[in-house]
Amino acid sequence: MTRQSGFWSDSLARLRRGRGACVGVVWVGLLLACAGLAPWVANEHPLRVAQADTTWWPVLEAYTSQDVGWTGALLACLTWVGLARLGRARAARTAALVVLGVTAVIASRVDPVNLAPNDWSELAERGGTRLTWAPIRYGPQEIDKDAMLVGPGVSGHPLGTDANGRDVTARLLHGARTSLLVGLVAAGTATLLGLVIGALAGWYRGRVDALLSWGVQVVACFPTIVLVITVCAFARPSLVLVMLLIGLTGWTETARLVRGEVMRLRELAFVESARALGTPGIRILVRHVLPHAMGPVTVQAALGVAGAVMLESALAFLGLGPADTPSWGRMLQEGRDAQGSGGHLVLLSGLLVFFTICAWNMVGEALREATDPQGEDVL
Amino acid sequence: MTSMRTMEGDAPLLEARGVVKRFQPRSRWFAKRPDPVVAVAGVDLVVNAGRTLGVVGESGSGKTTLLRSCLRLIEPDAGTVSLDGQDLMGLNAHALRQVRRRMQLVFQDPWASLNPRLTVRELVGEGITVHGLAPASEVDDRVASALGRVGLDPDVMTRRPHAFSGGERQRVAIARALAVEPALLACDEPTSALDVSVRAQVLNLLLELQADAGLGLLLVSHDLPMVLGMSHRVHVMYAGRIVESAPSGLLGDGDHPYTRELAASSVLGVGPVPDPAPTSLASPTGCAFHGRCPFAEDRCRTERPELREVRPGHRVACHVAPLP
Amino acid sequence: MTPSRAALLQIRGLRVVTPDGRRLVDGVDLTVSPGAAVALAGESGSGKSLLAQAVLGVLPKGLQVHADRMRLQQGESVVDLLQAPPSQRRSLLGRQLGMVWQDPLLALTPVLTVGAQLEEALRHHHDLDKSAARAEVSRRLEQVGLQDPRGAARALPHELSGGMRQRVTVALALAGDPVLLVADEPTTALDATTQLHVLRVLEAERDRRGLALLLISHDLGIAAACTDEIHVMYSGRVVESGPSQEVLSTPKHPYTLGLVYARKGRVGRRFGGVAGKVPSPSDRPTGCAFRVRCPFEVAACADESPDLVAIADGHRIACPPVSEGRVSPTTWPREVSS
Repeated sequence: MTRQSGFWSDSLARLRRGRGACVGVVWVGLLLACAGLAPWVANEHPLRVAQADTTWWPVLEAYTSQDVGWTGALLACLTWVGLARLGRARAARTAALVVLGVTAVIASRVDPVNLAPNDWSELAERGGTRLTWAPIRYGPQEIDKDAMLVGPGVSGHPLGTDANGRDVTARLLHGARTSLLVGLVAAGTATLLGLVIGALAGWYRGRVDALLSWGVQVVACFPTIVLVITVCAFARPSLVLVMLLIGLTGWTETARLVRGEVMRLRELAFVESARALGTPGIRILVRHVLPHAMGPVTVQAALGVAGAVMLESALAFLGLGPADTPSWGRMLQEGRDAQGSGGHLVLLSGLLVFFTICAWNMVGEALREATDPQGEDVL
Repeated sequence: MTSMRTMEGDAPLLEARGVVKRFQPRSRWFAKRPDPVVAVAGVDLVVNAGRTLGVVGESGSGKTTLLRSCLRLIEPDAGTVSLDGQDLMGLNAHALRQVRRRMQLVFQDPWASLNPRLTVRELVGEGITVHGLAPASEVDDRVASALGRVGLDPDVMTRRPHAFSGGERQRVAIARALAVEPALLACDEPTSALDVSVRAQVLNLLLELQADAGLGLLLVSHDLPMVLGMSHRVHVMYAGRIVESAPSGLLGDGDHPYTRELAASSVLGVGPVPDPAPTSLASPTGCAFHGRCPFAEDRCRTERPELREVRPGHRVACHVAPLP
Repeated sequence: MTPSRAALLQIRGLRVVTPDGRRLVDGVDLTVSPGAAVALAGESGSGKSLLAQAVLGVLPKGLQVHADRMRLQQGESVVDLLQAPPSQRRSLLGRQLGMVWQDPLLALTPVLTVGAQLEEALRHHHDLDKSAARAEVSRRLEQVGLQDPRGAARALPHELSGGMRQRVTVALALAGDPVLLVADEPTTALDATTQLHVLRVLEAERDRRGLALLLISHDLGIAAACTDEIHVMYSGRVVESGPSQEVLSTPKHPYTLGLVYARKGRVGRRFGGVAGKVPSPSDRPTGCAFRVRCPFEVAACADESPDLVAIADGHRIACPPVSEGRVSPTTWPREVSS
């Protein structure tokens, strides 16, 4: 009995063998770990307070819905990878989805307590109390007035601080959240939009295709950065708006790709077979045709994430991104503004942006190799 | 004699009159637009319930286009087609989809016609789901029963097409068509892509299904002996027209020169290779076959012959027929 | 069949093996004499195409070839096809060995005219200047039966009909004046009447040049039509071999019998054929691979894979029950169950 081979399992097997994929995926995994564990690594409050009669976790008390979301995402990923490694692929998917569901529920109900920072020194002096601190005792927004724009190696700030006295490590860790969030959401939006438009254009052809293709060309010709900058200049945008903007301007590649694939696939015999059965067109498109186009689409999506990260960093660098959100691009700008003393900021944030974009590109290229049918029984 | 099947039977199931289909070949830049190619040039056919009509012809004869036109998978340029008395040409897309239930198609290539991503259950059950023939809880039972009818173990439901051999895939394709309980089953070269030793399995299955369920069969192929064995009546098609039509038992070697040629070339093997006819040249007027016809007369070049009866039930489109 | 001259192509014990050890071709002996026409007949999974590819040196990557002997002999020069380096194998293609495949569109470049492609091949193999090559192109296209050689030479491949394309492919394969032409399903994609044309072309070229032909087909009739000797293959092995007309008219191996019976079409109420399906190399039954579908199976058939044994002059089969006289099948005895 031969192993049941399917398109994705074969692709995954090929993906694992590629080295580029490994490096890229590992990096992205690290970023996710940073995003999920950020409050545990850099926190101005202690992680745990052990008193004589009670133990409580300030870190969890102060968990915002964002924190819940990221930690939940990390756990879901770990569950999926763990179970998949053990060979239980289907259980892995279900378990990951369950974890995500639970995360969503908790995130909507969480009510973070606003803990004031000064309580801790008093508490520490009280007898019988043990405090467990995070490795870095500063949060991303906390200002250390004694250490403004200091370089790495200063006690308490292993990577230094920025011009406002905020700890660099903490901000980098939280910047990972922004990077991942913007990257995935923007690319996700773009992919979804491109998928829908490309599929409709390729399936219906004729006038629908002419109209949609014209739309694709118009949007594709638009200088994305100029548009986004213009919008951001008029209104200080929120994170959501930035993500949407990037998503709404980046879908044309996917649309063209999907359109071509759909036009090719609709001529194949199994599509005619479905039509002869009396299957409605939309159902054929969604159930039969699109699944076969997903290979190239996934590749494009990964590359799209790289592009979105680039764009978001550029926006933040230009000072056009959302104000309070920690972002590597922002740190790059601050470092540059600080001229001589901001070297560590520029270097660290710049390297992170660089590596992240490289990592996503590697993942995309590796996916392209993995899903590219070479003499296999694939359409 | 059981091998002589005749085309009486019940009322006509599928009736096509004057079907015409043209294709416009793409013209090159700055070149004159080429004339449209007439793939089907006015064909009538009738399939009765419980009976098989075979259309035999080579590639380029238009038989595949004719099949698809009759099922309205491609839109004919002219002609009427009716299924059980219901005109198919005037139906809108929605109504057409519903009527499709009653006329199903088995394709030539069992590898390409089954979506490799879907399981057998999804493939065979698709028609049932799309037409709402059974509640979701019963679909699996229906799929199992369809698989049983084609001689496959219901346990194969969970597997995907690539796990099967060609003959088995074709049976899955037939089960898929049967699941919606059609009245007409159209088969486009159902065994050409299969190994010779397993073709009989599919053909015998089709014969059984016709006997059990009274299916009307429209069979299109280039394989004359197979079509003769399967059909009650045979149409021979050449260059978009029916050139001969007879009950299969009475066709013999045929009365049209093209039928004779087909019959001769199908018994290759023992004895020397027969002389092939000269390559045909297209002719705008006259009989399309005259360029390669050993019996051609002057009349054949200028005047196109119409189908006429040379014997009861046996029609030939040839000036020279009946042949010696 | 004793060759009067030294054999052109001699193969002993050919095995084509996958990386995980499955034998797609399992020990085949084959001899092609100069000017002889030999056919390999079989269905999917028989290994006939792989055998041809092994001879030509164009097997897909990953498959290994083993043989006791595989050599090409032309007069004094002998090429050991197993040991020869890839560059030498490549130089054989076109010069000593010609190939014709099923799909002429694969052999012909879609962007060059047919004449240009043939001209290029001719100039590659012979020392001809442009005008001489052009003339030769016309001459060769006429030899393969194209009625308007100049017009055909100007055409692009997709502008010609299937039969004409295949004839061009034959001309292309013969451009280097090879001594052995390997044709793998050359007529399968063509209509019944066009097939005759192509077979005629092959026959004519054989007469004209003394060309040896190795014809591979799933169609017994085509295989037997223009060859002197036929080998019927099943699941990687030869099960019957002998003079083509004799094997086709009086087959002795149960599989050949089944194939010939299947060719008859409908007999009585049902069509004739063989039950079951062709096994894949990983599902091959022990002993005789055909036994699970064979109506004449006896217990001993499961013991070991039978060797070819002569039952008449030049006629051999791999079926102990028949060759030892325990069973004498003349017709296919049982009806096919689906």
